[in-house]
This record gives sequence, C-alpha cells and structure tokens, in this order.
Amino acid sequence: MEHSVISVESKFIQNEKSFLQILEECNSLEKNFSDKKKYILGISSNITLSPFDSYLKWYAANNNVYLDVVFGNYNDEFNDINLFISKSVKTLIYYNHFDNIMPSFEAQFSLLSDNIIFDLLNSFKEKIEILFNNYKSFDYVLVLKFHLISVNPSLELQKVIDKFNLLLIEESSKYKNIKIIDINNIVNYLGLKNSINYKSYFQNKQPYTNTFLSYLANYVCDYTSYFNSYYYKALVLDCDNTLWGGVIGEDLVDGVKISPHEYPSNIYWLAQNIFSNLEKKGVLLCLCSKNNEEDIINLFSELKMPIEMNQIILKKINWLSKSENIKNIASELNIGLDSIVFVDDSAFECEMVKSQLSDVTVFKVPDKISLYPVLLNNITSCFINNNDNLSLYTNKTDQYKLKQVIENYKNNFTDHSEFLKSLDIKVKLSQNNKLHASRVSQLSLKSNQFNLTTKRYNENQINTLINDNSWEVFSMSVSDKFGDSGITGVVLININDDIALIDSFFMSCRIIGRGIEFSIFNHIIKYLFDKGINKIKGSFIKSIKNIQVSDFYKELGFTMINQEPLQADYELDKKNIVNLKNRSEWIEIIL
Amino acid sequence: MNDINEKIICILGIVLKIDNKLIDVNTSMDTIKEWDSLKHMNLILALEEEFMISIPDEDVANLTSFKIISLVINELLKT
Repeated sequence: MEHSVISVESKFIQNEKSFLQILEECNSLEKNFSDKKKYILGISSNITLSPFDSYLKWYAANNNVYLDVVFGNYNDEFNDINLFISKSVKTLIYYNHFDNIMPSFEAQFSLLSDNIIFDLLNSFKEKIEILFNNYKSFDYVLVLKFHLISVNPSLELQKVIDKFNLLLIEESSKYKNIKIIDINNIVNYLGLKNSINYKSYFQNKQPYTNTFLSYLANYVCDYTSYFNSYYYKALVLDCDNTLWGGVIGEDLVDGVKISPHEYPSNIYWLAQNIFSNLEKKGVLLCLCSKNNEEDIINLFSELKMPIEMNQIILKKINWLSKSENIKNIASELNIGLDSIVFVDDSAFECEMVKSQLSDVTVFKVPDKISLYPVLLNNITSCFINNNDNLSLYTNKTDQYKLKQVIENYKNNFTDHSEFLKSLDIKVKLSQNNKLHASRVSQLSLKSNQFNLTTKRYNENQINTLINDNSWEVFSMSVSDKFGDSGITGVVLININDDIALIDSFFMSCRIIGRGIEFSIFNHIIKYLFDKGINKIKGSFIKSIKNIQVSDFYKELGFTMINQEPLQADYELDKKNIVNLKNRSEWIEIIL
Repeated sequence: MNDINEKIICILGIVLKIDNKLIDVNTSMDTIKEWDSLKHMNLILALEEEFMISIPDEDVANLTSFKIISLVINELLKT
C-alpha cells in the first residue's frame, strides 16, 4: 500500500474533499483499473444508502482496490440474494435502519402495544434465520448493527433495540462468514446532528449525511482490510517511548514509565496489553530498537509487564538501521514486507523506514501521548482479520520459534540432505477431510510464495470441493523431531475421466526447503495413476510472489506443453512415469 | 454559454460518468440512460455543494433536464 507514515493527525483529518471531487477522483482512478479484476460488493438494506457506494469506491481505489457496488432493491433482502448471485457479488453488507422498521418507528414506539413489539421481534428473528442461512454462498457478510436516531430515547426503547441487536449477534455467531459491525461508534463520534440528514431521510429514505457515509465507508474498508486485499502478519515495535515511557539506556529499569496506575505510565501499560492480546491472536511480535540488547532483556526480566519476553518471536536490538533490521525480520520469518506493521515514536525512524521500505505500514506514536490510544485502535484494526481463533493457528508463534531452533540446528551440519535426514520428517496426508476445510481455506487465502496457481478459496468453496466426487482435496501436516507444523500444505485436484488436473498446490512458507513438496507429489502422482488416471496436467501461473516455484513441474519430471508470459502448462503421461524423479526419500509419508 | 452553465455540464458529466461532449441544452433524464434515480440524488447533492445553494424541495424532483437545472440554478444564484 502506498501511503505515508500513519499518525493520529493524518488519520483523523477527515478528507476535506467535496462530494463532486470524490466522484471525479473515483472516475479517473477507475480508468486505470479497467484491466484489473473488480471486487464486487452488494448492499442490502431497508433504506437507500447512495452515495455510500461512491465513498466506498473512493477509499478502495486509493488503496489499489477496484470496487464495484451493487445496490439491492429497497427493503427486498430475499430477492436481493438472487440479484447479487447473478452479479457475482462476493461480499455483502446487510443493514436495517432501526427507525425504518416501521415508518418513524422510534416516534411510534411508545404508542405500540407490547404484542406488536413481540411480533416484530419474532418475525425479525425468523427473517434473519432464513436470510443468514442463505448468505452462506457469499464469502463475507458484514451485518451493521441497529442504532437509534432519537436524541433522548426512553429506557423501553433502548431495551428493545438491544433485543434486536442481540438477535443479530446470536444469529450471526452461527456463521463464520458473517461479521457484525457496530456503527454506533461512528454515530457517537460524529454526534446525531452530523450523522443524520432528515431532509434526505424523509425525501429519499436516505437517512445519513455524506460525512457519516464517508466515515462508514472508511470504517468498512479498514474492518475488512480493504476487502482482504492485504493481510498483516507481524507487528514490529520500537521499545523506548513506544512500549514504555523514557529511555532505558538513560532512565534505567527504575526510571522507565510503565504501570497501570499513574499517568502517563498507564498509557504504555494499555499499549502493551493491546500488543500482548494481538500476539495471543496469532500476530507475530518483534522488537526493533536501537539499544543494548542486555538492557532490554534485563528490563523484561526485572519488571512485570503485560508483554513477556517469550511472546517476542524475534528481536533486533542493535545499532543497525531500522530498515536493515526490518528487512532481516521479513527474511527470517519468511514473510513479505507488506505483511509488516512497524510502530515507532521517532518521526525520523518512521520516515526512514517508509522511504526505504515503502511496503511496510508505518505508525508513528503521537508526541502528545494522550492520543496514543487512538493510534492503538488504528493499529488493532490492521489485524482485525487475524482473529480466526483456530486452534491449529493459535500456536503459530511457537511454530515460528521452532523454525528458528531448526535454523540453529542446521548450522551444525555441512551437508544439507544429511541434515534433512536427521530431522525424521514425517508427512501426514489426509484426503477430503472436512475438519481441515477451515485451515485449508486459510492457507489458500494467505499462501503467496509457494503457490503454483494462486487461486483463492473460501471455506464454503473448500467444503464444496470436499463433497464433490470429481475433486480430491489433499491436506498435509508435517512433523519432525522438533514438533508438529499442523496443516501446512494443500493439493486440489480435479478429475475428469482419466485426466487429473492439478488445480492448486500451495504450502506454508514455514515448511519450504525440506523437499516435502517433491515427496508428497510423487506419492500423489502414484496414487492417481493407480486409480486409473492416464494423464496428469498442471499449470504454473505467475504472480508477483511465486517465482520460486516456477520450475516445480519441470523439476518433478513433467513435460512443458505450452508457455505464455504469465503461465506455463505441463503434463505427465502414465507411460512416462519412469521420468519421475524419486527425491526426498528421507521423508516418511503417513496416510 | 455562461460559466454557470459550463459548470453544470461539468457536474453532470462527473456524476453521470459520461463525456461532457454528450451533454447539450437538450440533455435530460430521457436522453441519458445513466441518469437514474440514484444518480439523481447524487446530482442534487453535488449541485447544492458546488454552487453553495439549497435547492427548494418542490424543485428537486423537477430538475430532470439541463434546461430546468440551468434555469433554477441561475435563478437561485441571483437572489
């Protein structure tokens, strides 16, 4: 993403552009996008939400996402589903405006009998039960919570809206693809006066001001990480005046400010709690600080702080430039620079990193430390999609740590294959295992480097493939003497008569470099031929990140039959099976 | 064509996402297929903001052609 260092100040100056400028910029940005794939969003609502679409498009386009918005019909959510499917909508926003459940519902409310309210709640419950079940065909559904437009709502009214919201929360919690967004935050932040446009509400059934819609669009884009166009994995933190107040080298352990009780120590305390929670959600925490390493280690061991040293997966505490250190972090963790968020209090360091590593997202701790919590919210929202709380995924930090132990162990061997043999690598292959669907989809969405075709599948799609007889979904988990890596590789195969097409093959970068890809592929090829397949086809589709696997099929012994700049097609005939190179025989495959 | 009318053409072009050359004095909701009711809402918003005027409620639904828009806005700007 091409934006500058993010500070509280830059984030919260609402764009001062006029509505016409927004439209104009959307038009011109979209011209440059014409060749790229569009991301299609559907909006289903009991009110009109135009020009929400223009603001969404504007924020998306400014982050290199070409968004197309399809509005459903007014208050017609069931028919909207077919409309959206016909327009290939992937993500959906579903919103009911509370006051429009019945005309001026809030004003009518006190005149309505309890029975009517009871019926309304029941019919709403029935409606969303059916609706949400039908939403299963979408990748991602954002349900906006109800909010009030009364200035001074009665307690009864507040109780009822809470009941409606609870229905939304309970029903949506049954589905993994449905997320709830609380728009009360925005109403509270702007105030009702700046949120509601009564003229437009009563004239066009569009209750909001442009300011509100602009904030909402920004919020939705942030919340979905620009419709999953990026995914942050690591949080790299400076130490002094970022994790605690003061400078450890000067103020010493007793002098640094970090505690839950007095100001401003309590703000750093908050920051550490937030970072610590992110780590528990699977975010990789790293330190990058210009200091003596010993000082920092002592501080962590002498002071009881929310972040503990064992939560830090990598620390670069030295006097090298921060951009150098961040580059090393990226290569050691085997992740892209665009997966990294960096936080520092020094404007100089922030600008340095941004200018040398423009792909890194950089946050500057505000000079006015009382504003730090606002920035922390922005940092948290970068990782909003990392809360997949899958048990397979939560011990990721442990797995990366393991990888480092292996790196150290590796140095003891001179011969690479000698080393690999000593690891006792075991690969467990599973076929069409429904329990793995969620992790398989997660890998499909995130694997970039070892990914032959970079096709992305969500969990529902994976489940469909698992149930489909013409598809084979192989998932593998790898273990060695250091531990178990969990599900880290997937092969998707489409079988058509006696021809098998390898649709996808992707592996987590954590297990690359051990020959696993060859050994399991040999195994799968033999399985297919034994099953009566006569020809196996596969393709390499080039992306910006997968160059390292461009020759994978060639190395396996496949014949290239077609080559284009961005794609190469290969095949292997049953009679040529002798061409298969039997490699990585030190790996044991378990079924 | 005066400055106001040129500005109206410019706004129509951006809101309706069409080439300004396609807009002339005879342009109306009936001649431009892109000009639907949602775009019409956007058009009113943009006109009000750009000319810093408030279009009276009774006129909003009637501003369906270049001629009427021009007439109403020129009138509003005089007062």
